Amino acid sequence: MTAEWRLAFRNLLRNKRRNVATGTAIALGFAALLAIGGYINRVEKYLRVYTIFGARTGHIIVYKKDGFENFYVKPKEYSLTPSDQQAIREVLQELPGIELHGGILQGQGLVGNGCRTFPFLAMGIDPLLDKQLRDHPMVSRWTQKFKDLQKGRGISEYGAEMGAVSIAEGLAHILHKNKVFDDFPAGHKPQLIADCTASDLFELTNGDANIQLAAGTWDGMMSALDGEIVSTFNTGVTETNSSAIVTSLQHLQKLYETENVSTYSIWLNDSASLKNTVAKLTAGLKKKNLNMDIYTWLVEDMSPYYSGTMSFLRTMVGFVTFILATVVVLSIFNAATMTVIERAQEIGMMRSLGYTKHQIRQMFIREITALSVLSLLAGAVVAAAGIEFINRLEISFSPPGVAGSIQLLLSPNIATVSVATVLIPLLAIGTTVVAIRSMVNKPITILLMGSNR
Amino acid sequence: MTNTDSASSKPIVELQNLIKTYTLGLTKVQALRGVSLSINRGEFTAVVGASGSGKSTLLNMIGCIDEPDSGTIRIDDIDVTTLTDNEKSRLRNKKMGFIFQSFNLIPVLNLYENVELPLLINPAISPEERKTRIDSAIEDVGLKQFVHHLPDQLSGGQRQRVAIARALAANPDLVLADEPTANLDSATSHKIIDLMIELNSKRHVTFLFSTHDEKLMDRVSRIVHIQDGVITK
Repeated sequence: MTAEWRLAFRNLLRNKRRNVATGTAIALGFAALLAIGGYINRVEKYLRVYTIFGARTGHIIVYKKDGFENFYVKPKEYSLTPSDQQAIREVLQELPGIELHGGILQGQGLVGNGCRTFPFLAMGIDPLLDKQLRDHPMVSRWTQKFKDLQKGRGISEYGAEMGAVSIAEGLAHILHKNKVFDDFPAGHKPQLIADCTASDLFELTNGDANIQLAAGTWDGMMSALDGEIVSTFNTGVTETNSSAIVTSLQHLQKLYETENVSTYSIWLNDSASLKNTVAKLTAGLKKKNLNMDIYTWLVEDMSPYYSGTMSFLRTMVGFVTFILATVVVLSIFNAATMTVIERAQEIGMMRSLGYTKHQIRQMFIREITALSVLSLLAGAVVAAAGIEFINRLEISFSPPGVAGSIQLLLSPNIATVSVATVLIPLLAIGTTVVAIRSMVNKPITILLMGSNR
Repeated sequence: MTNTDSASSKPIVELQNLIKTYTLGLTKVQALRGVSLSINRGEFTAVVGASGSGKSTLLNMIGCIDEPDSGTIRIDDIDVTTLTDNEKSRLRNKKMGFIFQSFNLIPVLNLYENVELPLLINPAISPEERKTRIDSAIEDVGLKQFVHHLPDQLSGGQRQRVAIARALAANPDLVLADEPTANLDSATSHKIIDLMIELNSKRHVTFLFSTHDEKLMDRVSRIVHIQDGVITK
């Protein structure tokens, strides 16, 4: 250790009580920032994985040109035809880093239990793709709720001819469909409900897993299909948990009497390659003279829930971080001011010995840096212990808009630590300001300031 | 008794018509009123005067830690009034040593480390040479057995000896001591002055110190009397 740093560390021992108080403020501030950052990281990861995998949005979404704005008005005109889908597949075969891809059909209509009907928002997806998304490692890690069905098995477990449907648990509840296909013996037939005012209606609707899906076809006709509830799930989002339906792409296409899909979604091995892949995909589609719109999941329209929630949380956390950082920096500013005032005579002596203003500023900055680094290390230890403790408690909480609850896992990442370490330059700047102010006077004035105290 | 015999002909300090006025509230105090003075190399000089006579101001001007309103100060033939703040710092570090009334030792540093302070900022001094100089200075002030002691483990006289060692460690041409015995008892004061005289002789360093202690007058080779900011004799 150099003599300069030795002096810095020794000087920290001069006013132990104050330095311990200041160090504690820094350590706890840092630990709090790490914990808050860990919370944000946890929620962000949850929402990110939910959006990309849970909502089957994908990293990249391909629409027919202007399809996003017009699909629900003119689905036939603004959907992707089988030849469009084939062309996209051909382009994707040439691109590296594509993990999964497939067409998605979205639609709305009414779902009934034999007596009452409710609106639904349906998604048709290839059952195998659905299973791959549900079993994805990112899902296992961050949104276990999506991976684990509430009841039953996924639609990929059943034959295409059966019309397997997985419905949101909120919708199952209002439909009085609390049992799934596997809860009934093989060959069990749907029960016809003759009297929808019967006192035992609840038992009657629960007497089978059959539902009826009704919707207008893209040609303007009415269409209806039977479906079997094979599972229930939690969408993770309050607003969709009482209306969402997932079924096979084939089944939903049959309902709307089409072979088209609304969008074509693409999942990447590494989200870092998103920009590059979009560029290559755009070029590939252009080469085939296909007029399509390409969006990434980060576009607000593609992930309004993620964007809105994170924007809200970041604003909140930014505010809290600002307050925390201000408190910590003011503590240091106060401590540095007190130190400089107390040691005015010493500063004057050092100036007399030939120390320049710059060298004395550096001396104080070294001291504060030493205090800050020691405190930040202590804060990191406190944060690590606290986070481990909180994580082991398995506390559940509900982030804004999330249906049900998720475990409170604080997961700080490198970015969190980086943000938290912004305290170091702030502290150095605070100390420098104090040191500069103290150095404005001539050495004799500083000496006299010290001796006159 | 002192080293005046070895003094070279070129003065180490030359002051010409120094004027310094302080403003205290609404009152202007003329601390120096046209002081001119020359100190030769190797001299052991006392600046004597009553409290408020301007002797500390005079030493501060020579030490480049304060600035005159007018007049010139030449240290080792350098006009310090034209130097920048950093240049003055370097001049102080290389050519001057300071001894203060209240010792001004850093309490968390031991004796050795306190003496080391002025050498740390001189890149021309190697670590080996630094150690040699520190050891030599500490030995010269007779505190070799206390090198690891902190200031609060030393007596007042010992602390002032540490301050003297610190002033000498950089091998300065000039040592300025502002009332170095004011905080010491009579016996210790005499010992400190004896030590300074001894070092003046041994190291050929010019000593200039201020005092109002009449009992020390007969021990110095040159006395400069100052009264109301004017050198009287």
